[in-house]
Amino acid sequence: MSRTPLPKPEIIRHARDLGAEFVGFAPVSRWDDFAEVPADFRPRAIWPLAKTVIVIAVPLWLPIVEAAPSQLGREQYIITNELLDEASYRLAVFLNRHGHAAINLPRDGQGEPEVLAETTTAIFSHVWAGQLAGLGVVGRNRALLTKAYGPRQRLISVFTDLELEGDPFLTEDFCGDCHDCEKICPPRALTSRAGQRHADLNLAACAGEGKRLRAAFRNPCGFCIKVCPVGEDRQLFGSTNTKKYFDEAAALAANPNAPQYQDWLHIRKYGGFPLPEDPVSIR
Amino acid sequence: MSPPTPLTKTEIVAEAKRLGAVLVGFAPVGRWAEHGDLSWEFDPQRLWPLTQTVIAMAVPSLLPITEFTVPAVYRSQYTNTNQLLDEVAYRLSAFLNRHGHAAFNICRDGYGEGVMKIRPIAVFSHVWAGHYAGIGEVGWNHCLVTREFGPRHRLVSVLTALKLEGDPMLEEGSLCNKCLLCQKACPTMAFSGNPRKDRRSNMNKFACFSRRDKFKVPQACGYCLKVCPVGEDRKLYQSLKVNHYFEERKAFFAANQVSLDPVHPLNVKT
Repeated sequence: MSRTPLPKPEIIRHARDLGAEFVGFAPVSRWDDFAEVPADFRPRAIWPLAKTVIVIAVPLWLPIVEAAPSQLGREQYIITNELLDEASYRLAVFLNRHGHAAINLPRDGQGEPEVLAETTTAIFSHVWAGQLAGLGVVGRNRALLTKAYGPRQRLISVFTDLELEGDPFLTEDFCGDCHDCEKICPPRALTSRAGQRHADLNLAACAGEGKRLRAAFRNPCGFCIKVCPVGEDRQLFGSTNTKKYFDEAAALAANPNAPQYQDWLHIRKYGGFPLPEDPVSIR
Repeated sequence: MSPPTPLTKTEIVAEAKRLGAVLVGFAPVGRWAEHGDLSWEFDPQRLWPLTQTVIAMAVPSLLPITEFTVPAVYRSQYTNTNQLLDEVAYRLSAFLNRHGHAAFNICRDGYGEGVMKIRPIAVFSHVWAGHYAGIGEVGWNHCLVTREFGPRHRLVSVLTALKLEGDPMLEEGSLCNKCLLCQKACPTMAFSGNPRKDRRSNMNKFACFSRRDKFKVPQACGYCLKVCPVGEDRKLYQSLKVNHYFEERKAFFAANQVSLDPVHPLNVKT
């Protein structure tokens, strides 16, 4: 295989053709320069030939995310994962075909929530890779926040030995001080101490909730991503009032048929098993 | 995100087909209330109040594979077409959102294992969406019967806030002439009704889903799909006769040591 040059625009075009919505590039040196990620989890520790990490993102649609927990949300999670795995695999093959060694890392490669609860760490953080590739910033909820979709996207990375110029970091920090993700988290898995930029994440609690919902075919939870006020998608989908998520339990306790929640309740009702917290109207 | 840029139906259809859709149709949201076949609960605007248009898409189930009684082969086609549909619908939504028109996809009918037995209704009916989008008509067997593939296809839908002109709906009875072959072939006798009075059968969904409990010898079902004489695919695959399905059905019952029901219309007739 001979090495033929591949400029960035050509790689971006190919990735988009494979289904990527956003594509960013991070030279592996950035992991050492910023040192947010432990040494064992930096690209060169995982694959010594790595020179550049290409990060790909695909969005999650707010109307489905905000209706969670539902089977429709589970299907969205599955299809975006499959799409990412396929796109990143095929992008790696594309690079290899041009003589540039490349491998795709699986998106959060934990298998089942049980494994997540025990190991609590993925092989590689696509979230930090996303920040280092200039796609977004890591928010309080430890998800990558982008201008377009806030934390509502899924991520994956391709490592390559091809040297490519890194994309500029974002200068704007979208994550404010609202702590809404922390306040709404059903298993209370996020806790931030004073002055802390990112909340501590109790992964066992988070994964435990995922496991409970999965038994009803209604995982993932996603409260920390639906509540986030960041993202132009809020305007696009006409859902800018995030107070609605906090008011929901009380409103439905008072009136299980509260009209402003009927769309979400409908989505929750079908395809999965009832959950104890469901209002009587959808049991 | 860029401000909305105009998108024509032709461009949307081209993108859908590039992504793998085979049949594509557009249903203005008003058609659900106008025709009143479904309750308000299953109106697209109940699911998402901003909905203006439903884009219905289908990919075919290939007739020879639908005819195969090997469960693994049948199942593999089912799984593959489902995954393709979800990907096509997701990516078409991304295409619309990228152009500033809010859209999201409803997954092809999905259920968790066992959920069908307690609540055999999907969150949204892609079959009726296909009907209102003019890509087929809901037949006696409650499937969307299309000119191209009869009922042998799988469906998915995208809801969008973009207003688009609807495609003409098919004239009632133009494809399904109520020959009742689906009713006669169904091993679980899930269909009943009076073809002179009813537009389509009553379907006992619980009977349909009970087939795995009723028949211990595994065989892919799909009788109501393969027996339907409608569809240009029958000619393509040179499979125009349906008698052998009934022979197969008899053998299937015998292998399961289940007797043919004496009141079943097929047995009354023969």
